[in-house]
Amino acid sequence: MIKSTTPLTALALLMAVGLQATPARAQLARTYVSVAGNDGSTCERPTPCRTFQGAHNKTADQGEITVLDPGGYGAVTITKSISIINDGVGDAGPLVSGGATGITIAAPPGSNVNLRGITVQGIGFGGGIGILFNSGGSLTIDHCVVRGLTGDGNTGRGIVFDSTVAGTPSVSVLNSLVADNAFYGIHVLPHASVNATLLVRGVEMIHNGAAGLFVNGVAAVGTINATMADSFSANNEEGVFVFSNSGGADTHLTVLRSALANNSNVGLAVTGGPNASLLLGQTGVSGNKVGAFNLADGAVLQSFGDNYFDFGNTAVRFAVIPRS
Amino acid sequence: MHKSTPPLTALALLLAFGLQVAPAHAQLSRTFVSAATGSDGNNCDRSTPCRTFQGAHDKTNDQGEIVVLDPGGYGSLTIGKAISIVNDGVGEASILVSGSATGITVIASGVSDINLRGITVQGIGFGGGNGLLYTAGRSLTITNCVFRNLTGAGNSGNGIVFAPANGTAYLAVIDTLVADNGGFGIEVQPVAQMNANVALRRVNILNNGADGLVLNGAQNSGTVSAMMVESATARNGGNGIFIHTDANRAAVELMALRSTITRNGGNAFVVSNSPNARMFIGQSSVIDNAFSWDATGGAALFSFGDNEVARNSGDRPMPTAPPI
Repeated sequence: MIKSTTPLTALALLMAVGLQATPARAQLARTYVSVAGNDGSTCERPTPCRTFQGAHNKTADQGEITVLDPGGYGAVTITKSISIINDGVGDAGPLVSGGATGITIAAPPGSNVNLRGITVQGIGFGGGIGILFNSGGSLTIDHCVVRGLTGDGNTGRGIVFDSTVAGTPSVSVLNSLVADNAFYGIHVLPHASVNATLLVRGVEMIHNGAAGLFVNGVAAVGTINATMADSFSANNEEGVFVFSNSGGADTHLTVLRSALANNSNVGLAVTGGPNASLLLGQTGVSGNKVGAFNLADGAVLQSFGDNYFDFGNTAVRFAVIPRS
Repeated sequence: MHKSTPPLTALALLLAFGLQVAPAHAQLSRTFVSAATGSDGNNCDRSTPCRTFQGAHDKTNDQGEIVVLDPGGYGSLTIGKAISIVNDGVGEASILVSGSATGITVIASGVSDINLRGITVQGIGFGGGNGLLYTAGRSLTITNCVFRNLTGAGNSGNGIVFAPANGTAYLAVIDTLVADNGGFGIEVQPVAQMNANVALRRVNILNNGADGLVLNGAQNSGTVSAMMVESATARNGGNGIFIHTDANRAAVELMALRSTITRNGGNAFVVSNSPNARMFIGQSSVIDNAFSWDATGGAALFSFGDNEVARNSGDRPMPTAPPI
């Protein structure tokens, strides 16, 4: 081990090829977790750590945690730019109970967090929240499963985008399953002055007790722009729900090439006033108790005129934006 | 091992951390199965996995999860609680079916949500059987599974049979192959007073001997509401899709979007046999089936006017409903 300071370029080169230039007690850029690991270890490949939190704390900002084998890795609070990757080695992720949260992101503005292949599973016993974004620059959730969260409405939510810090936070949920949660599947509810972005793509929101996707601007100021594409929100209470009022953020959701089916209350709803808007294109709306709903409160419901509604929904009046 | 009862909060914390507190005879919330090293005499913990799905199921808490550790056969099982069985890419985890048995039977309580991921149910002849039979529970979500080669006479030879008996039930099938079965691919046939909600996405129903997808409301008096997107029913011996109910029986509705119906030996799809049966179809291809669509007994069929229908015997325009 070279104790003298390595020139930065040489250090970068070593890290780029996966070799760790590690001064004493320095954090690694790539760490590993295994159920055979130990949090007293360095988290290097032959000496992996046991938990996500243990590895997180020993990983450098902008580093990566690699899952080596299936099992439980405990809840984790993320406070830096980091990527946690399970690329098909078997089911890995935290169980959630006792009103706890599986994965909390409380990182500085500008930090980018990436989660891939993680299962967050509620197991009852007081339930909890699956993934909670409190602060940070961006969070990307890809090929994850968040299901079975139970609780009282604060808990019982799958993925919560609750930015408590002003800024331009962004959350993307891709190719994931959000199912069987007692309340919202994906809940956007920032509590700050934000220009927030949500992207939901290739996601199934299935059988959640409240809305599959709820975009709520009432506790924020600024703007919230959400897009849901190529996704399926079915068997929930509401497929998608957009809400904001005169004191809240300008809150918008676009739903494209998606399906909203068999929701026990309504397929898509937008209420609260002119600050709430929903735009629909190439989307099927079928088997819901009510297809689309907007109160006569100024909330904006728009369509590209190319959506598929079943019986019982044809009385809905969309403001049509012609395709071009 | 402490034999005294831990305080609930401490228990919950430990559970959240993925560490199991197991008083004598207590069940775990996450159990493991291994074909290589498991034994059903074990407690199914990570280092002492069980051998079979049934063995692990019986030692898993309600709302818990069974994790597959390595490829192999894990035997048929009957699910009697809320549970998730997950094979996240460790290799094929299969259930072989013969002797008129059923691969996976779901008979759970009315608040049980069941999740299956990455499981292969494979018929091997010798009397065949059914792949999956659901008669009671609240919801079933199937992702990344395979149900194939189920054979047999009578009520055998079907891939997935969803036949709930009371209340409201939810089925979601995602990224799944249902192929080469002697009977139906997927059969939804509730009995008694029953509302069945079905969501199908990226499901391939191929080369089954009878109809590919069956929605039958003639045995119940509630509703059957289904949406199928980005899916295919192809080269089945019977109809691609068969929707059926009788007068005074359950209303049955299917919306099919962005799907492919081709090379089926019967009709592409049939909607029968009362006005309570209806189907909507959009952005789909209906090509090279032996016979085109049919709607009988006052059943309703609506096209959104953007389907590709050709090369089926008896092709004629479908009634249209405009997109909005």
